[in-house]
Amino acid sequence: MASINWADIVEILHDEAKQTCLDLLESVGYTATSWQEGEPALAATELSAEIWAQLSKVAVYLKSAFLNKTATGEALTRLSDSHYDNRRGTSVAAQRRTSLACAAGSGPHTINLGALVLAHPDGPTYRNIEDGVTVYPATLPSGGSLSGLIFEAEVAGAEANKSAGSVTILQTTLAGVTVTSDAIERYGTDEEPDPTLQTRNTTKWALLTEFELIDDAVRNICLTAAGPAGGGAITDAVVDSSNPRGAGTFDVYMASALATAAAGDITLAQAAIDARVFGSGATPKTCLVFGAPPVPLNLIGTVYYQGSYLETEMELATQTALEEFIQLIPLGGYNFYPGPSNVVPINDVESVIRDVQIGGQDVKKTVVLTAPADLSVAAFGKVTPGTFTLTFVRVSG
Amino acid sequence: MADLIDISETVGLWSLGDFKPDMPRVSGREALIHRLCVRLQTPRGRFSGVDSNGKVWGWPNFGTDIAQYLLSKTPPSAIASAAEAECLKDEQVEEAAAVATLEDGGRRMHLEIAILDALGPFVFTLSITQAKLTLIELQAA
Repeated sequence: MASINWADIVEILHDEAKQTCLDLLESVGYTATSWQEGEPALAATELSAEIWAQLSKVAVYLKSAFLNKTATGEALTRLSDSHYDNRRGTSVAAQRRTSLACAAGSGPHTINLGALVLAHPDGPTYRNIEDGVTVYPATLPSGGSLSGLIFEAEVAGAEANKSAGSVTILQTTLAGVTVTSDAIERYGTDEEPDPTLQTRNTTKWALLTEFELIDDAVRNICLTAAGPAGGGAITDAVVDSSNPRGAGTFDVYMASALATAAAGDITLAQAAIDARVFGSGATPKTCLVFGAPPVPLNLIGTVYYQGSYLETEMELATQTALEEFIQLIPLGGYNFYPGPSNVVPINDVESVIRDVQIGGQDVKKTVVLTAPADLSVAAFGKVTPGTFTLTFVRVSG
Repeated sequence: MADLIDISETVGLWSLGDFKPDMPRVSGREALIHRLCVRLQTPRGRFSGVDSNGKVWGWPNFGTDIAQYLLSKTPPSAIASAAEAECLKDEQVEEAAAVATLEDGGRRMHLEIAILDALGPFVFTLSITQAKLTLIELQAA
């Protein structure tokens, strides 16, 4: 019986499957070249090819779905739950604390729970929720104000994190009413990304040690406490276990997807570590948690491209691609021992820009960066999106 | 393209109505009519898709489901034009002319199609309801 090897399980495209079917038919005497559209036999061949192509996708999916390194999306969620007892951190909705005022000649207005919607110019919308103080339905008197109202983003995730004072558009029609103050009550976070969950799964084994913490165990504790699973935004954590502040000390550097760790997340991780480390009561502590030093990636250059896409579409797609690339850069940059270390090669950045697609379609382009140079990253540094001064120039083909 | 092989040599499988367990063979002009009937009851794009590389497979432009025009406001002349255009896609059809007549308040259609192929003209008549397409007459013109 023929055996199947790992490398044999690959996706077969429809045309490849169809050609194999036709070759097999030809090998037993059917010349299929004269068939035309609508022929039942050709239709059966096309259907067989499509079924084969679809089943090959299923095979490839199954091949990757039950390995921590290759599983993604819902498969990884279920694998993590069943094999590692890790639940994917869910997304958190951003909240704002807002005050409203009503002009003297307007109102009064009765405001019901969930009936008011604010918007940011970029699109995210926020709806009023219980804040523990305001009694709904609340009255906004003519010439008066209401303060301390909490509005929650209608779509959970980091997309709704906007600077204080910027959510001031009243989408619900209320005559004479304006937003007089807008503060950030709670940051929103995205669902835990696949790489973070994969790291938590891998490093969980290190928690089995009962003697001393090792690097992986520390990473796991930090990611669980301050990552989306613990209500934070941390997606990566690394350990400096080289006695950085004297014998027996170690430090942790953390970052979220596109920025260094926020103070709240550092507090969460430090508390979780303190509970597991001897010397947490000493001054300074044996283990200290830091935000990774931010290292902005700045780019200046011109991108010449062909096609009918607008410059703004190209700019948005490039920004998105660069941010996706930055999320994958390890803390401290790449090491190419015995070559350069703590760097992000500029060639990799150029490749990201060159490979930008729009709607799944390739866009032919040439990238010319001004003074291109590898980005030098501080030890344990987090590369963040800096200033992208890229000019997009459409050229005729 | 129509004269590359003799039309009487072309063969196909019975394609009208229910599936026949013995899968009878049809040939020549009869095979052509079966192919046209399949075309006239297949929704455009039904037998097509896009693979993982974005490449279209199958026959994206195959078929015009004539039954879609029942109980619609499409005039019979437009229905006839659609049927003619679909028939002309078959490489053995050289000319096509159709006359559509709606009956029973638009619930049933009588479609008479005159075809010219390499052997000469012929006419076949279809009765179309939402449920099925039936070949009711075939005659040499």
